[in-house]
Amino acid sequence: MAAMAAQSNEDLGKLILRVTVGGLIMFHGLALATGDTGIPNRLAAWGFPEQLMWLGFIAEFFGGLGMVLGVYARLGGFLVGTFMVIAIIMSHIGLMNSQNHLFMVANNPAGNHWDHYFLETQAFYLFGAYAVFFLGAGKLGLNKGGAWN
Amino acid sequence: MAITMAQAERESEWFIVRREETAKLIVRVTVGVLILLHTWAVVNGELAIRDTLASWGLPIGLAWTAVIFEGIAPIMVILGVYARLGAWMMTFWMVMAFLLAHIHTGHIFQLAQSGVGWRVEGPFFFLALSLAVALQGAGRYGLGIGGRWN
Repeated sequence: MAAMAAQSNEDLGKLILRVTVGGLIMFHGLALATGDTGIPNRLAAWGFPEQLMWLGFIAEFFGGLGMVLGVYARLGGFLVGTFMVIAIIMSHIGLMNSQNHLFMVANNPAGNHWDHYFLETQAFYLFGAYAVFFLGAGKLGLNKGGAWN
Repeated sequence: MAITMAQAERESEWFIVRREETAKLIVRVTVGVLILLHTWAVVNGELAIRDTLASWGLPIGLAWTAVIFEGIAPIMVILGVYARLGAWMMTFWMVMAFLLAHIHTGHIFQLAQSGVGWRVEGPFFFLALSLAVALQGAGRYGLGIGGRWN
């Protein structure tokens, strides 16, 4: 009985983690698809074709959707985590006219005091997504994808 | 030399257990370290919590409970010392943050000021990852203190 309760807590934890990481990154995918220029600009700065942004969209939106549903959730976690590694290299460590944000803090919403790590959001997505890759979807999902879920 | 089925099974079991434990460590350290920066800011004069308390007519001295709920608690989570207890404390703290600062203000229905992402993405990550640690526990990569509260 205790073992069953512990297992269901594990599954609930996995659900909360993957719905959070997957659901929130989907908003970023939608922003990209509807004209946010952050990623296209960085691709251009590196001399890459801007159309590569659609690979980012696939990782963010469909990787996120897979995590939310429990359909190839591990694959989704791997895609989003790897997308974040690429995003950090391309935009946040000082290459190709970007600033090095690795050792910076950023301001609160009111803009009157620093209050968080500059790459807080990126760190949440990077580590959260790889955690989903390692943990898998658990039982509380559509259970599609075999070993990749 | 060919490996036997039993060997292969043992090795894949080892791998499956290790990756789960690794994930729990990653989540604990991520949520714990990132929230400690917020606490360090509060200690160093960042006023958002105090402003929120004042707007509800609550004593602003309550902001110092941050040292417990988002200072000591995340250290427990990171180290694996009564990590579940620490994670429940952080979960409570983030629920209070939503109740006092993000719901009646409508933030939960808005996109970020940059237009990219949900407005309360950061607070929600802290809430969700704290809750995940509370439910899953520390796993084996930590000091392992606290029995079933770890």
